[in-house]
Amino acid sequence: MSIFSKLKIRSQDQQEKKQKRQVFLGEDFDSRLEWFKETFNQSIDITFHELTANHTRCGIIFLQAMVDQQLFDDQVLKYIVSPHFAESGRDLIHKILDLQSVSTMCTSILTDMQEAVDNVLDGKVIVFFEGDSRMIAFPLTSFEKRTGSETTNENVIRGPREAFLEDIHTNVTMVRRRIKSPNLKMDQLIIGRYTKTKVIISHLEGVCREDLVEDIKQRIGRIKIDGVLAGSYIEECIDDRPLSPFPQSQKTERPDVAAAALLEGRVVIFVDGDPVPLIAPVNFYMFLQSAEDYYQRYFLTSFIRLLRYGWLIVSLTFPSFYIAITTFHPEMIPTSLLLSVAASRENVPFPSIVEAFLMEIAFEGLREAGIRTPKAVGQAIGILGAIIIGQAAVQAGIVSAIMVIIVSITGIASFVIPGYDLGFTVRLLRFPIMILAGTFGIFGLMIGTILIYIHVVSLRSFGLPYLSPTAPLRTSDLKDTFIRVPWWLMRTRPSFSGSNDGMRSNINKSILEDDED
Amino acid sequence: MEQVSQNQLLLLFILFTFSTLIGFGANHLIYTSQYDSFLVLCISGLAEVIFAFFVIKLAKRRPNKFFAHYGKDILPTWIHIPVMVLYFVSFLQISALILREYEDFIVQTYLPRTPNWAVGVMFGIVVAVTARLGFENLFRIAQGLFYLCILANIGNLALIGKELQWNRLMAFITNHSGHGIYAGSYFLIPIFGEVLVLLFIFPYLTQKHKTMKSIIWGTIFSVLFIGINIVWLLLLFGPNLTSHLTYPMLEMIRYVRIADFIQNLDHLLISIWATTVFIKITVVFTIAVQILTQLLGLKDHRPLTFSLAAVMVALSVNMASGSVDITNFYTQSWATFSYCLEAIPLLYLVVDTIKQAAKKKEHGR
Repeated sequence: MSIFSKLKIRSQDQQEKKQKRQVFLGEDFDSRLEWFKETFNQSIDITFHELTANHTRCGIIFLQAMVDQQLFDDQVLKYIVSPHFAESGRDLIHKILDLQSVSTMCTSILTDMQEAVDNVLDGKVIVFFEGDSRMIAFPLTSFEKRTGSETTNENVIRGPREAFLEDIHTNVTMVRRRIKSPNLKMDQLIIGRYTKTKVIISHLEGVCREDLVEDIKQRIGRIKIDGVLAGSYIEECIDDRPLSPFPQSQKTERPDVAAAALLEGRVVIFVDGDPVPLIAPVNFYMFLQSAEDYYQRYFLTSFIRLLRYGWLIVSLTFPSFYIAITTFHPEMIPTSLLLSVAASRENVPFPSIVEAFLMEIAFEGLREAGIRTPKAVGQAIGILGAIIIGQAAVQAGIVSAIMVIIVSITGIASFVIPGYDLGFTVRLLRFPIMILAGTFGIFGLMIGTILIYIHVVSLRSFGLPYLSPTAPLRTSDLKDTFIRVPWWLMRTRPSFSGSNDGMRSNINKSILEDDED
Repeated sequence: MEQVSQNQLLLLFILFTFSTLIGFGANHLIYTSQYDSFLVLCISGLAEVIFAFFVIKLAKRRPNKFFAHYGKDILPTWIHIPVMVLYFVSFLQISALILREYEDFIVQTYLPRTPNWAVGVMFGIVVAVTARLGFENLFRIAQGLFYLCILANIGNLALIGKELQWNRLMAFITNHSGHGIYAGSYFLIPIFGEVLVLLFIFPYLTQKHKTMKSIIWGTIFSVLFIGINIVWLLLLFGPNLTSHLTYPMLEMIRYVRIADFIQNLDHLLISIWATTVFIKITVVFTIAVQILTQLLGLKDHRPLTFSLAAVMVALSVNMASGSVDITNFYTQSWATFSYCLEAIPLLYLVVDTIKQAAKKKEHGR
């Protein structure tokens, strides 16, 4: 680490310490009110309310749009202003601050002004009184949020359709509803100098390795950043190899997937404001598994999984393979096919590598445009793509018909991969392999594939080798890798979990058969 | 430091012996031993196990130390250092030699207009990247590639089955030559003797007491896999044609035709086989890098990998004027050179045993 970055970190730490410095202003009402007003100047959404109850001045501060005012009136204000609630000002303070005789739960007593500011920004109502340095915070947070929605990216035909939302507490509850065990632990961290975003690290005690949880907590705790607006901010900071194109943590919008990960001994990281929590650790094969795999029968699932592996290879190497055989090894393909390939390429002025690059980049552009365009013009993109890039380009002799077929098949292949992150990585890696295949033929393709393989083998996700359970080989974990065996055969938990007994189920097949009889 | 499992060691050793012997050594073996080739393979396998026993015996005495470090305790430093330098140069030379063979093969067969250095540089980059990752990852890479290579080989052998001349099987019983067995064994034993690398990777192994068992199983499987390929070559081409082909394995793969649709699968199968060559070069090269690191007293081997890989590539391009030179070296000098290299650990073992016995005597007094 250079001396400059060390100095920078030191100054950031000092700044943070300064910000964390506590402020105590004693019992004086006016100076406290003034301090609050000064702190929150130019903030029109902060409400300051001053009133006198039982001859005692009270100050109320809250964020207008984040508090349920009706509830505050009914549960707090009504008591404070009521002449029957307290006999004197001293009695009022005693009942509220000492006895907490109001009908609101989870209140907290504060004396630090800075802490009170944090509470206000978190949506709590702060009430303070003349003649007492203490303040009380009422958690009456209420704000507009998106209501329950269906999954949009990880769709299934059979199985739950519920998806996570932006609110972290709702998300945590969705998982809690599925795992009703006190062993489900949730630790909260606050990350972001200005955003103060809540990050909840959840794991299943007794199933998850404790050192893994500690490692993740430490990595997240070390993040010093101005703001965290989504899980990706955290993800990039805690990856084992941040320069790798391969995703090192899984993302999901499905509570059932998060719950399944917890049951396997993995850790789920929720970030407030992001409906897609992170799951760690992860291996390569997990990106080729879909939630549906566990809701359909195992025969079908196993077949589909093997199909996905095939399409993964197609997605990575198909255009490169085409380039290699048309440029260097035409003898590999049968004569009749070779003739039709040659006939279709006859009018094309470019070598096949240029042709492939043009088409692949056009396809990537089309895909990106399809995601970003407003729905109203989405159809137009489809028509443009199909007619101009597909038909007209072939007729004009810019690209060959066979190349359009190859790019289309590759495009389909890249969307067969259930993990969007991995699909994207494979699409990206296709380009260097195409260059290698265009310069060295099959030999180049092999070199490119080996380089990717070497990288993937050396990769780790939170200590878990990325290609486990194949390299290093763990035969007991293979039952849910290339195929999915039925649940009654999946008795042990994955070997990376930290469970004592390692047993996931104890279903005896013979008992099942007896029941059938 | 103990990161390599016995299973990984077993799989790597099968690939290690299989790779170059099948690709580049088959014609010379069949030329010298003809129908006795399988017998020669068995003899060499046995010799490998015996040699491995002594290597493991030496390595086990200081299981967590590197040979470059503890060798000084056995022989005087002024002998040990030159020996280690010899090992470093030899391992670098061997990796360059295999790389050169591979370059010649690729250039002659598939990329006739590509210069040797271009293929060498490409391969050198891959080797350097892998060597940089260290032995743990290298063994893991081998573990993953093993299944692919063996499946491709078995598939190839199964598809070629109908082309074989089964009546030649009788010759395996009737045709024997004492000289053929002797000459073949003399050539093949040093190739199996490359189990010497065990001495340099021993500290990385887990469950060290099982190493001998892994080597025995590795040898059995290697002999079996290589043996089947050699027998198939003999049944397909006969001994005379095989010994006159530069790359008989390639010619055998070219016989494979699936449903008259896919005509020449050789490119695909050769690229899979090439991964085994890559494993072998990388193992040998990584040992060279590690030896130099230990000799120079460096903590990390990574800064050396790319520069040494450049040396290896340069060496591979300039070591011979053509493939004839390489073949001559391989058939005439290679075996003797290897015997010298592989006998050194035995010398260390003898000296160490004598020293220990002398120490015990002193203690006894």
